[in-house]
Amino acid sequence: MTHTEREHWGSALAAADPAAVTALAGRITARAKVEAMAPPREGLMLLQMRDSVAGSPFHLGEIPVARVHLRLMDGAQVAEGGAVLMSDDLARATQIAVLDAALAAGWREAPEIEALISAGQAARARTEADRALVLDRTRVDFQLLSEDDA
Amino acid sequence: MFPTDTMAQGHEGAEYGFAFLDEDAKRELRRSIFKAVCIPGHQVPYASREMPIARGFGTGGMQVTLALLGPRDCVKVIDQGADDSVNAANIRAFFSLTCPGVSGTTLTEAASVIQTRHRIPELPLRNDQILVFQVPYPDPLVLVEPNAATRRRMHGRADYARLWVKLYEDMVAFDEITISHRYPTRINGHYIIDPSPIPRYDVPKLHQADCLYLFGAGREKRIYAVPPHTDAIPITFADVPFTVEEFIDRKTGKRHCCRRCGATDSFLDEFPDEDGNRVFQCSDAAYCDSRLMQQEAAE
Amino acid sequence: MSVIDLPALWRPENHQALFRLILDATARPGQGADLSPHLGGAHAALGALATFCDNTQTLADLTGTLTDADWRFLDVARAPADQAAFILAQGSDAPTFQPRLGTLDAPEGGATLIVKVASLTEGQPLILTGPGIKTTTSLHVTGLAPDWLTARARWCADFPMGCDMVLADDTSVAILPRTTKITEG
Repeated sequence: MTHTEREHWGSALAAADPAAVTALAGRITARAKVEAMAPPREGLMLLQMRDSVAGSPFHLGEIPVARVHLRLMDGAQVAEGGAVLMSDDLARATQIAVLDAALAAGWREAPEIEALISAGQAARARTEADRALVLDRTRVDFQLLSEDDA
Repeated sequence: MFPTDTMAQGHEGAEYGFAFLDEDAKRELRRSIFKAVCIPGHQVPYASREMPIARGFGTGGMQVTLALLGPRDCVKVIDQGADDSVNAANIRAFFSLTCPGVSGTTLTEAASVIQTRHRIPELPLRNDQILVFQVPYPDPLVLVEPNAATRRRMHGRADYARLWVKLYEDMVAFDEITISHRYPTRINGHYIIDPSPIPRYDVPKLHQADCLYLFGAGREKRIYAVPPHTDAIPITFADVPFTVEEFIDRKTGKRHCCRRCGATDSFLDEFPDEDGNRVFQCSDAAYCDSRLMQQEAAE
Repeated sequence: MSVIDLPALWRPENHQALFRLILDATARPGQGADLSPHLGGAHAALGALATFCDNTQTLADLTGTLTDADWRFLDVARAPADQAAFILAQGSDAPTFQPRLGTLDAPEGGATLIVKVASLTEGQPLILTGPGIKTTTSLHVTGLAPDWLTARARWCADFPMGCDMVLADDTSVAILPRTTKITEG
């Protein structure tokens, strides 16, 4: 059983091998009927953030967002899932929503989906470590600057 | 029914949804267009999107057109009356890339949607046609009031006193109203609009027309409309009638005619020919061409 | 598999077609528009909502006829009638609410009322004049309580403020922008 919270499944699957995600979602949709719970949406959304000093909200800019909410039906088995991706790739968001639904309902592909999530999380961890390294080089200690001036 | 497609279809354009803009953007444009038609002449704000051409090159008109177009539409794009100028040709190519199924035409009578810069076609438009204007400056009050919030308040209260004063000052200084294009026009007795840089000659065509006129200003993020059968009166004084360009030859006292088709009932462009003589030609290329074809057929 | 098949009413190509029919009917008040080819069997009122609503808008359903699935697909926030951008109402019930009318500076903030009526082809004609109408035109409607006309006249008394009405029977709509003047024939 996976220890990852459901809210992180999507980001992990987005970082996993795209071909493996496509293949697995394809196998599930080959036997299950897919029905939209809401219209799949793809477009630009305003990204709101908070500044780190006063904590006041501001709009960073527009980002592409793809959003899918669907239901799988395989005979009597019903599974509901969704995905929101920072991407304009609606097909990919649909595949991830299918995997989300199948895993949440504990369908027989669940172990394979968990494996993909683990792989995706490992990939994300590597990216984040690389970025942290780059970011660290840009760190400035303002206290030291003022001591130099004195 | 439609003439041979003038747009080279079949480009790779599939990486975007139909009509380039995402559905949320089109829905927002459609809500704004709907309110613009419900409140004739009012400049409705909208979220003007980034387009793949620079603001000021017709992005407002393009967004309105993209929100309208469906696969059964036939679109015509003109710039100063011509279908083949750079601005018009590129915008038409863009529609062809992003709207599979939409056909293109140069014939005014064949188009369901016409996007225009600076002219209204000579041929009267029908009730199943929509004319979309590219608008550089949507607000006629910019001449007299720099503050946008104040201008909005003046529009809401139909307070146009200072615009009248500006026209009066023109009369005092020059003995005539000197506005040659973008002539302030009052819509349905309330709002005064900037009808985009069309010549005075085209302004009366806005009044009680059969077709719907939509105006899109991309940089200024405004959409407004003149519905069909709506009063559109160029503002003037009781003793100073509104006049349009007449193209009278001072020597002969007769109206200049088009050097190509001989028309004496169209808006004419004036330019020097190879020998430096002043010559006149129809500004509406499609009108000129169709007259030439009729003359050839008659011979 | 790429993207899920959607019911007809929720497909973008039908939203475009619906919008063009609605726009034409708005530019020519009183002229009915048959939306049925693009509704996939849904009510014309839902077709109008599907054309305009998304997650940036607010809707008040005074009819109680919208299902959970309708709300999910409309993806629109619920709001009380006096604050909503869109109001779905039953024409046979006299209006007891005060819609948003916008302000002098921003009259586009006036609400859009979508009113379900029994028929747009039968009944006593209403005589319409105003922008979009050459001289006069008549609109036949049944299932619209008389109070709607007095309430509308009150809401639209101070142009440019006011609200715009979409009358919808099962398959078609007719639109009364705030500029249309109504007299009973």
